[in-house]
Amino acid sequence: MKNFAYARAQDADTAVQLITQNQNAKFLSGGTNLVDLMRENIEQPDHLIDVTGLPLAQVEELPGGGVSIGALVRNSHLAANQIIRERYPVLSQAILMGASAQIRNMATTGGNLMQRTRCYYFYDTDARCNKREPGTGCDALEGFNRIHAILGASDDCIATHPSDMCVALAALDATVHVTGTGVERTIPIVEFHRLPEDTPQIDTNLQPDELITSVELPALPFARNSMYRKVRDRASYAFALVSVAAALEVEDGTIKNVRLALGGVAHKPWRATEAEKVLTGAKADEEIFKRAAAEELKAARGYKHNSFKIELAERTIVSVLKTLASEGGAR
Amino acid sequence: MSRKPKQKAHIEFTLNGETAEVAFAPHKTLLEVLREDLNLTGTKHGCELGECGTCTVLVDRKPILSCLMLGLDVEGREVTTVEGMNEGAQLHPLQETFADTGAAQCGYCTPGFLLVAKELLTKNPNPTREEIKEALSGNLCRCTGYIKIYEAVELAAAKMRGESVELPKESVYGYE
Amino acid sequence: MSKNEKDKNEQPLKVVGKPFRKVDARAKCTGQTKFADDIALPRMLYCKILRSPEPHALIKTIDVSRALKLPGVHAIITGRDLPIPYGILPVSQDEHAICIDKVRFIGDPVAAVAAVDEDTAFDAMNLIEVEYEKLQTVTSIEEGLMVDEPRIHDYGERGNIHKLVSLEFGDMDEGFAEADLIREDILFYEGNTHLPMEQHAALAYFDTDNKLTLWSSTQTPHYVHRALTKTLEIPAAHIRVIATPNGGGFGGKSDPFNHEIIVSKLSMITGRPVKATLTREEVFYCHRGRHPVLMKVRTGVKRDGAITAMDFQSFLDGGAYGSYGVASTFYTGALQTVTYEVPRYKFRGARVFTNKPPCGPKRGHGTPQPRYALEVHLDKIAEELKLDPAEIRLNHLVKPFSVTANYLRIGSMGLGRCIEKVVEGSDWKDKFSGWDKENRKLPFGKGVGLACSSYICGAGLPIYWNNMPHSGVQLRLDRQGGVCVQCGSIDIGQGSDSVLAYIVAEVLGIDPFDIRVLTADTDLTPVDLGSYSSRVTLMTGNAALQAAERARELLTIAVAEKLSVPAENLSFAERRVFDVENPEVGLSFAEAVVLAESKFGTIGTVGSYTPPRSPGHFKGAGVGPSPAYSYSAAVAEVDVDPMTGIVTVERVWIAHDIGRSINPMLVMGQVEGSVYMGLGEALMEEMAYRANRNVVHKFPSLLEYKSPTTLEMCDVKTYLIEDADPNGPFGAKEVGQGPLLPVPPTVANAVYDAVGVRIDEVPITPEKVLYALREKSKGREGRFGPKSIPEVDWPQPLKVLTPEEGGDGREMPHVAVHS
Repeated sequence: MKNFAYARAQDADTAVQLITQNQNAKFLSGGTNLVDLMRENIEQPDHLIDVTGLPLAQVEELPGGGVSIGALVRNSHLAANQIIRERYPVLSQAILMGASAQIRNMATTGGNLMQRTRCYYFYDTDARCNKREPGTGCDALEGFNRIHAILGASDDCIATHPSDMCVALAALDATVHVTGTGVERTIPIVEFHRLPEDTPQIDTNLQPDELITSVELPALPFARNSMYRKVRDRASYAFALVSVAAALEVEDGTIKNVRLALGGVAHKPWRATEAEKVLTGAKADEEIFKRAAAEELKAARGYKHNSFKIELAERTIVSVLKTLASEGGAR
Repeated sequence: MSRKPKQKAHIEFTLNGETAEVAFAPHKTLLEVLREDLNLTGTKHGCELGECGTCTVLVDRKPILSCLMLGLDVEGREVTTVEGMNEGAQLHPLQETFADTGAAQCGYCTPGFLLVAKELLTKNPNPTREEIKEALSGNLCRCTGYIKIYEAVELAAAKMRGESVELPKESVYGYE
Repeated sequence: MSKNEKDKNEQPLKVVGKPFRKVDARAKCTGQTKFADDIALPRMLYCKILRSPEPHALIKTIDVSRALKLPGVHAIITGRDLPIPYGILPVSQDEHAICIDKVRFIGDPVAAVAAVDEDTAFDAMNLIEVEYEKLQTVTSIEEGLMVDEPRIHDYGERGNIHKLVSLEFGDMDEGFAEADLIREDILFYEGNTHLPMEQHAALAYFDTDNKLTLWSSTQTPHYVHRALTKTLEIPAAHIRVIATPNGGGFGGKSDPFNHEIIVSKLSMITGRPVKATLTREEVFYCHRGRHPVLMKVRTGVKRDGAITAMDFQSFLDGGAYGSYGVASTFYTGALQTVTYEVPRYKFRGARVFTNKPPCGPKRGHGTPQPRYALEVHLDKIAEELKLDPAEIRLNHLVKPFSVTANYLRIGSMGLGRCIEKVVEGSDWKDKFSGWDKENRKLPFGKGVGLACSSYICGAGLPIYWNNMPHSGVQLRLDRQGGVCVQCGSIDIGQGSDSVLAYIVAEVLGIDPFDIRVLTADTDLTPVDLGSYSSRVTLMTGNAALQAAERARELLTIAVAEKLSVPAENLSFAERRVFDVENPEVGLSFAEAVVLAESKFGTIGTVGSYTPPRSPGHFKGAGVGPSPAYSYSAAVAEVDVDPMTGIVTVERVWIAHDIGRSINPMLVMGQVEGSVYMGLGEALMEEMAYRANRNVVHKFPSLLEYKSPTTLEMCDVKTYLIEDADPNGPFGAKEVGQGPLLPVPPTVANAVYDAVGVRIDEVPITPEKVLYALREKSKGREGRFGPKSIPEVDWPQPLKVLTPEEGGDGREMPHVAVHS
């Protein structure tokens, strides 16, 4: 690992100040991704600003029924939170299906949002990668691309976003609160991560001097009927081949409300708006689920090794909606 | 290429119940600090990339991966390694049952498993087989197929609850 | 439990067969066991090895000048510093510790640095400049057979073909003519790797007396010793190799490795201890794992399933070096005959060089691949004949104490009892749907499968030709009652140190924990060939038994004289030596040692073991013979999700013919661990390479090389069949490898029972299942797998008459072949 200077910040202003003052600086929280990338010499920051001391580790109920999750709330803590488990089960499930218990004990909410892709070619410094070294090309396009994107990819990058938690957040319409030099702003989760286009080196719309302070979940009563399903090669230590986060409200056989997001398929957590359009107001049956899934995947493009994901995503959407429709109906 | 002279970091923390002071190159991970600067080689490494659970230690009583945590991050915190599991010559019940059941074959992943199991039994003195599997799913073992490890955890849990139990005969001799 | 000739004086066994702790259990549960990387010496330097990013290239220039100038760098070596080649097999001395003028795979070493710390060594490594001239790569079995130039090595059969084998036992035409059904199948077994949790590490110290000590995580200290002697050009007597406890081996630490030679050389140059600990990525480059093998099996059977002839072909992707490959090639054809009667047998095998990490021995060495092919093939034959898969096997078992068509001498044979146990235990008859899948017993998506296997208990011949013992044990008894057992064997987690202690304790009537076990140190322990080929329990066990019996003999003489009791009346138990007819007449074990030492002088004994000669005398007869064969049968119950193609193995019933358990607890652990590893190979593990540059490892990480976690591991119900083998110590046979073998075919057969598709390629990944299901739904063959084998210009087969045909185990003169 390359040497670096290290500083601890005790409040957000200091943290932001430190990151603007130092060249090539990075915030460090749980370290589960950054330290890993530093060990692989993919990230080589000159300065690390340790933000773990900031008072941002609370989960709080908001007036009106929403919930605010501090950026430093550990993944294991959030998944175990009683409010989350009751009101937003999809989020708790998604977190528990990610990484391993030890990593969840370390990883933070903010850090999870900032995860970088697990594309093999991004990690292999002998390979070409526009995300790691802009302009070098993408070896995944013609390479072994089983884990790669089928939606929203570009000719410069077909990497996927690895987070499970963010897929649930996307389905729940979360917003991300950030603070920068003198400015605080909120970013809707679906706009937080970005598609690769011709600048895949940029993962998010967060500015270099901005720090995530919290994630807000809106009140979403029907999210009590929500779930996360992750299809992967093994049940621990595996990123999603395809995952589906969904919340569903069915009244008298008609879909009143639906939220649907996909993981493992794109450069960002993929909010399935096309499918939602088909579903909303329709009769809740398998046929409409299939139609919605097909509509969402219409734009999908498979590469040599990942075409199977298209059918898999459709099937997983249908299966999740079926489960939620029957469970919601039973309630 | 010029190298800056390495100024060592100096921290104090609680290690296996005792105050420890250590100076080390600031980019070292907790794993490296434990093994190289404190000579506690009981904590092993399997990948140093957070992919196997072998280097698990407890920080503030929670299992974490010491290969992904900077040494600097444990300042003022409480760290438990496998060397801190036994009290004097008295092994922890988990250490006893791991030895009794052959749950440690090559023994390389054992320290990590022991510490995760220790935390599990603190939280849940009577875990089901499924709960044990879930708790241990962040630790890879290539020797045992995990079964003797589950049995060791179950035996230790029973011992710690004050029950006297033995492995079922079929776990030792096979089915009739 | 059957009585055995070894338990003399009819004393019940006190140690053997009991679930004692391992002698090193406490150390392993307290973090005190010192693995290679846990050792650090004062003034130790750290070594990093620069590895080739090119799969096949000539090294034009190497410039280390910038790297040498970096403060803290003590030495840098390149291939010219270690010019002598080595390799595990005498016929494949094709490796250099550091490549001299050519690299053959991504990961081949091109230079090595010794520096004050790891970071400096790493930085220096990156300052070394290497200029390569790229060569065309050879990336697959097909290319290896077809592409003659450029050659990866300048030896072998021709082009890039490393080895061709062609053997024929008996009249094949006659055999196939007798058959009611002839079936052919083509299957593929993807390569996979050992993935021990411990990365290889080695520490060398060339001390001020000009003696070299190497601590290394190796399964074969004796072979490493030989390789160091050869490559470093210093006398063997000046080299001491200490194998540290292995944090898992599985065959992956059985070759002498370049890093072991490199740190030794760097220590000789710098005069300081030098350590190399490989990264996980480097462990993937060391590899020596399971060969990818393409197989075609053609079998003639009678209506009742009796085999009349079998013709087996295998094609091995060997990777960039020879390693154990010649032996692996023979092994893909050797053990087909030891489970069911195969009266006539033909085997052809080809191993090719490719620009990938070298393959070698992994648990089951060369036999899981053909076993998978054979057992799936047999399942398909059973279907054609409408026979039950258990019955077709049970009815045609090889006979105990017989000689097979290819001259393997079978000893005890418990496979029948194994099959009966798993059939009964799994409720096979209530679960297996038979061949009419319309009338299912389990719902669609659930199924059961059955398969069997056998494995050697140690190879009959050593790796280099000699007439010396394969295993030696020395016992030293001290006058205070302590016993030290010394043996070159190395504990890789299987419990071999404990087995030595148990056997000696049993014979001398003492507690295993009274014994100090000193192993795997070439200065202090007699040679044992190493922890491979499931040889240690049987071979070191027999050597230990002999040494202990000789010690007991000395003590018996001395005690008999003292107590005036006939020697044959004396028994050893509970740390006493006493008269069996009058048990209170006796004395303590320590007193017995004092008497013996007073009478004979210092008490030390030796034991050694050499396997019996094999009945085969043809060229190639060296691979396959063993003092004994273990047997296993397994049933798997699976759940196949037709939506995702994901196969979940819910339970495996496995019966293993162990001969006799020295320690049943450890046997159970080996069976469970074997099932686990077999499950990984069946479902997810693959040493596969990226598509565009089909030479870069796809997954050089523990994350991307998927191995089963607790959440994939199935329930295992184990049955131990104990039928003492006359060649085993106390009747014991192996257990470390055999129980892996039936697992992949069992799972494949169960998948067929569950959803009606044949996956003729492991690992059985979701994509393959989905593909086959899709094909089936379109009315095509519900199968995923290879469809053809490459054309090979096979050499004339070496023909041997079978014992049945009156053969004598020698090659037939060529003229006689056509008469």
